[in-house]
Amino acid sequence: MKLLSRTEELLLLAIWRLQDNAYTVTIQKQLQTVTGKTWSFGALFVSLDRLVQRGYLTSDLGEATPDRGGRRRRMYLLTAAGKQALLEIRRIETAMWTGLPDLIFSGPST
Amino acid sequence: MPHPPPPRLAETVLRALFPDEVDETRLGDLEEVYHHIGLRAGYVRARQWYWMQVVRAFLPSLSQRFAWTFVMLRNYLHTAFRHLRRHTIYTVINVFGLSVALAVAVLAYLFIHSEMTYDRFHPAYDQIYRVGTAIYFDGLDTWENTPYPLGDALATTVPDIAHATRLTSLPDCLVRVEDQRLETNIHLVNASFFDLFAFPLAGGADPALIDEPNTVILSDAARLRYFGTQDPIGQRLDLSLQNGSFSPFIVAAVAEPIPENSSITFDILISEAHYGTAFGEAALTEWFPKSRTATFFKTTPNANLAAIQTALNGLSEAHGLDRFLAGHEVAEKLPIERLDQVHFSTRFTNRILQPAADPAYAYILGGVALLILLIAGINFMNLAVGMSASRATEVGMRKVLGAHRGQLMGQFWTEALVLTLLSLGLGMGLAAGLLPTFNALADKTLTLQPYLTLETAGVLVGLALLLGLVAGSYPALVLSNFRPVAVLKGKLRLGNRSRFGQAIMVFQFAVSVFLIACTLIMARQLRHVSQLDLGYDAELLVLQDLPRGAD
Repeated sequence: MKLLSRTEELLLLAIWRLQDNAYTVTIQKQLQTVTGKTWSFGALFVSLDRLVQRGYLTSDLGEATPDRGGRRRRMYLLTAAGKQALLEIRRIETAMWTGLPDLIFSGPST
Repeated sequence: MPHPPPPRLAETVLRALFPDEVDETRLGDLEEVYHHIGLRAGYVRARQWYWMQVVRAFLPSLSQRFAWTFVMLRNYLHTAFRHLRRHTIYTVINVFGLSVALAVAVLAYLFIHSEMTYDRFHPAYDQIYRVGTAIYFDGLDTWENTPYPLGDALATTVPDIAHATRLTSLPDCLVRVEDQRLETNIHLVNASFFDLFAFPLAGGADPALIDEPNTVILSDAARLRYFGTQDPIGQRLDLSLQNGSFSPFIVAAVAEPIPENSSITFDILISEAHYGTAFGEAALTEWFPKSRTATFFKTTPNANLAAIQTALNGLSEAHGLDRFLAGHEVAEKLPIERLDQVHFSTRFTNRILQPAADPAYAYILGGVALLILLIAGINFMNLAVGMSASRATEVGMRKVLGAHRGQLMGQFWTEALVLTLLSLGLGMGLAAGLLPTFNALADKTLTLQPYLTLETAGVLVGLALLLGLVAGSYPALVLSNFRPVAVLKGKLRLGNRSRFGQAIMVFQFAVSVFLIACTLIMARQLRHVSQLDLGYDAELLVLQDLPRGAD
């Protein structure tokens, strides 16, 4: 299985956290709060579409509200495959991180 | 309170640019945030944010599109050169045909441009008119000669006139430079001549110098003829204005070369103060159009021409010019003609200005040039069709490997453009080489120099691009349309020409035969003219005009 990219990992995690309230606006807000960076909607749309296409997400049409100009929401939900991919990347990261020599004091002396 | 909706234009742009990614829900997402920002920071900021999102979505895709276009273009050029090198005969025939056609087109353009812009180098040329005298003698005629006092009367009695000036021609005079005696034309003017006409003097010399008696202003051609490389300013030359007596003149200034397409030409300008000497003091006040004096005036902007004509008729009546009309009622007794119409006008009988030309020559030459360009274009297409047998496999292969039709069209069009640009270079060289011969034939002194500008280069490259686009359209549209499976199975039927192809072929041959026939007929006609028995032996006859003062 192809490993997730960092952006994809962050997106999936945000959606998992948001549970029933995951749509582009909340996802963007979540990412912005945690990373402190602005995420353009264009980039989010493309990545979300790719994740749906790869089967890590499903999308559903939600309700329309007046503050959206009467337009409906596209709600995202993590699939089993998405959850599997997240666990896989976490396992790899943990494996890579454990048992490392001390990062801070073992570099070349300054 | 109703909130302003997000910019509709931005929504439309997004939809158009990203039809796959952007749907109602996405626009809804954007609108939600837009209102959020709008309520918190104002809708001006919100609108800025919205457009920023559009730009940020578009920029990466833009640079990507750009990069791919560039890569493909390089590939097109590469394959185009490879194809042209590999099919040498095809390339040579095509480039030869196109470059000859372009050379002809360039020469025709030079000729037509010169003819159509005759006398237009004078500032406000459309406010400058010449006056003639209506004479009834075996029918109505308009003389270019005008009474000498007319020029002075214009400024005082005719409305809407800014300046008036005269040009008096004194033909067949003698000029003596050191020990040489040469025949020449002398023109008499005063300083106002330079107010109307753009004949700048070398080194910015003051045109008022002409009003000094016994000074001359030389044309650049005359300077070269009389003084060669010497500095002519202050040199002496002797002119005989009448009866063989020479009087001394000093060169005061030299005019810049006169543009090739000028109806007014001169070699030697002297002051009008010598008019009395040349024509007799009585002629100065005589209302009689016997001397070779042309009169010009410049109107004020938006002048009332009808009022000017009425005033001129009044002048004619007041000074008894009506007696030349033999009692006939003529609407324009002192007819006027705008400067830019002089060259093609047959109304006036020109003796002072350059003889009038027939615009038909320009049109015919333009037509021939267009026909030749058309033939070269058709030739190009026919060759492309002939090559299509060998190219069909290439097209099929490319399609199998995933080339879009648009890319194949790009490839064929690039090939055509490379050919035409190559031909343009060669054609320009050819035109430059043929120009002296063409000048001798057309009795012109055209040069390429005034046209060596960025503007002309743009026009020429544009022309070549257009030619390449049109001529390359057949291979681009037809060859790129081959069905790969049919081609690769060898099922493509070639040599089965469409009606359009046949019609083009017939047209091309018809035009070729027409042009060749015209050339042959003209050649035989000219031979006939030169060999016709005139009844005398031209070899042993000499015609000699006696110059003034060569008793």
